[in-house]
Amino acid sequence: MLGKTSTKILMHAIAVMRPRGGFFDAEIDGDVARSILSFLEYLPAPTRLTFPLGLRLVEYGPFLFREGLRRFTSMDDETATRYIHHWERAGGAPAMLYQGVRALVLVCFYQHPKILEAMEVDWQGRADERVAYRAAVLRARVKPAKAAAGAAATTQAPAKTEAASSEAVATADVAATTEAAAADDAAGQSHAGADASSGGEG
Amino acid sequence: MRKRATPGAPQLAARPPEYDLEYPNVEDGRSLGRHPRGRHEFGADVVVVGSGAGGAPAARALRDAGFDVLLLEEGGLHLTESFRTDPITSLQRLYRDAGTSSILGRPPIMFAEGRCVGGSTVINGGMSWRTPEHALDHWSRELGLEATDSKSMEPWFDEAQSILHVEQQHPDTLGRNDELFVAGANQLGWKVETNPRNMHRCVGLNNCGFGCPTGAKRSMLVTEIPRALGAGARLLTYAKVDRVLMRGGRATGVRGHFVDERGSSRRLSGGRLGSFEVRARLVVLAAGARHTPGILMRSMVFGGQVGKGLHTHPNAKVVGVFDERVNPWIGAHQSHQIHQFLGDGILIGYAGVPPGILATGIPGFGRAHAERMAQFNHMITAACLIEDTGEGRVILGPDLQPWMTFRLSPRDVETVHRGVRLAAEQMFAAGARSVLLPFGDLSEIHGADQLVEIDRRPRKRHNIELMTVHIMSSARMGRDKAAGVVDAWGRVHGIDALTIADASIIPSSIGVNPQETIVALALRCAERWAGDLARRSAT
Repeated sequence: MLGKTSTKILMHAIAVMRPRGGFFDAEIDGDVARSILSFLEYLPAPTRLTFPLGLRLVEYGPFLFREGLRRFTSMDDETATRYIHHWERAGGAPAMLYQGVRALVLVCFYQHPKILEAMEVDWQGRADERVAYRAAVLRARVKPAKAAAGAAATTQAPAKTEAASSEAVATADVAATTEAAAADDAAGQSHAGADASSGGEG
Repeated sequence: MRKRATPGAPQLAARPPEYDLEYPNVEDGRSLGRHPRGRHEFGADVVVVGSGAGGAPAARALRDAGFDVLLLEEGGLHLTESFRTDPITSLQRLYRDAGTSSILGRPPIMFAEGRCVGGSTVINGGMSWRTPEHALDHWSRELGLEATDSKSMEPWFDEAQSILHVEQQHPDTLGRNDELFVAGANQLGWKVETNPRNMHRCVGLNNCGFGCPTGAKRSMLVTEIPRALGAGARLLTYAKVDRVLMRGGRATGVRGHFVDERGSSRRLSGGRLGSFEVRARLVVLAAGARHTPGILMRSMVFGGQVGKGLHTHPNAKVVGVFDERVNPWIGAHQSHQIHQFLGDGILIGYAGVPPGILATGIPGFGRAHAERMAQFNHMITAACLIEDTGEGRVILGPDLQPWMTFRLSPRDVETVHRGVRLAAEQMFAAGARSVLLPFGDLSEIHGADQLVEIDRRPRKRHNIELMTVHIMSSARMGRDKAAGVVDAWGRVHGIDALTIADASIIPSSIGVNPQETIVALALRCAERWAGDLARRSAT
């Protein structure tokens, strides 16, 4: 959605603003730019439409901050960093533009899989494990409950089966055989309607 | 929509039961809108605009009362198994404007709300507090709102808690961040509240803000929406309402247009998506405290209190940096809160925030930023939530979308500083070696002896970084048109058959997470509307 010139300005902004040092020096600027471009599609129309204009202001704005007549994209890192700090301190619309570009760069940079891995943050791996864990805990609760309910159903009238099943669910919490369910039950979780009521007074 | 495999979803031997929920009677507005043969027309007894904490329970209750209900949602139906921990994807799919909305003012306040089936209940932290006693007293005694005292509200809170399945956090899901949060409070002698949370056996993934892939969080997506649809209600997704149709002082339906997954009616491939019209005997607006007044104003319902009295319940972030490894992404989201200072308008909590999101709240960029973020696994993100006394407004912007403005009162500014100081004190008491603050001109302190710097900071509105997910009161309840937009039962003053069931009708700032208040009010109002409809049918 950005033209060639706007993309070039954005790439230079990424190069200047991206975190540096140690494992943060990974070569991912291209991925960050692609991620930002996909994000732009979801911004509200006024922001989306004025974003390229904002980038042009950054490109041709150095003279506003007494940085001469050079363009932003022709600045070395040190000068560009000083120039970007001018935008940060300017307040009003320039500061909002700075905050917006900075937020896009940082979100897309720190959420890059290589950076997450280097930071030792494996949220998705934990998600896959937690999903399986919860499924196992709930299944362990239900399986013995069904067996107990089945046994109860053979000796009781059908109309009472539901009650027997409910009771069996409680029994099953104690009797569950999987490790996950044992840990679950040992913790003695209880529904907290009463706590929620009293908490509301806080 | 019947269940189908979601691309990329984990193939599990054991699936959480929420993966098998059925969503019948759903139509995808993108498909309908792709062939704009004029305007698509629908009819129903009741049309509900919005499927969040207000719209979903109202739709389910009205369907159970025997009415033909059509639920409209601007976002898409994203199933539990499609949720990921990547915030970029989640922001795009589940949040309005990809989470980049803001409230104009000094300081501007970042604002986020859901835009998906289930609304903000899909992306909230899952806290279920009842409306505090003092707020209910204020509503019933000082504002004169019928049956809003705590005794009258009790059964509605009970029903809301039953729907939300309110539990305490299971001990095996608590992370080191929770332990330190509690330890800091204990060290200071503060009372720690165990958070009642709407969940069914949460396993502590800490992804509440981006959709719960475990299925544990009892959002409307896994509770009232499938119940309503199973009972015969219909759901139209990607359908954005522009205005309420009216005739002779009575609402007769709504008109709107279909949007794509970006929220735009203009397709990337060119051309526009089509429009729709729904005729109904009752219109329920539940689009949230920003968009409900926006719809009213686009429907030429101006004046009175429409859009006025906006409360924002802003929060300020305070990040403790510890020597020990905390791993803030391991453990449940906000299992405890501090309510000791609620009387002063301050609630303190914490959250596990993904690196990319936390990074935006840490000042600077480049190497200096990297040095701080390298400590991510040693950080706890605490926050103080402020019961605001200032009032903002929702106005119609030049793009005909609702814009919000808010100005912190001098008292709010003072409360923010006090809340930040308390949260920082708690972090130091827990052993933090430094604390990052939400002030542009005072971004970090390095010990409890430097807390005085917060006291010394001039009480200026600017240079404070605030955000909110709890806006309310922009179409509030009032005894008459001069005092509010709706009566004590959510019925718009002066317009028949037009009602509201979301955070906009909450009459005052409540100081706690508003989800349960919204659900309880929606249930209470829906029962009254069902009676109104039945009486109208009889006559």
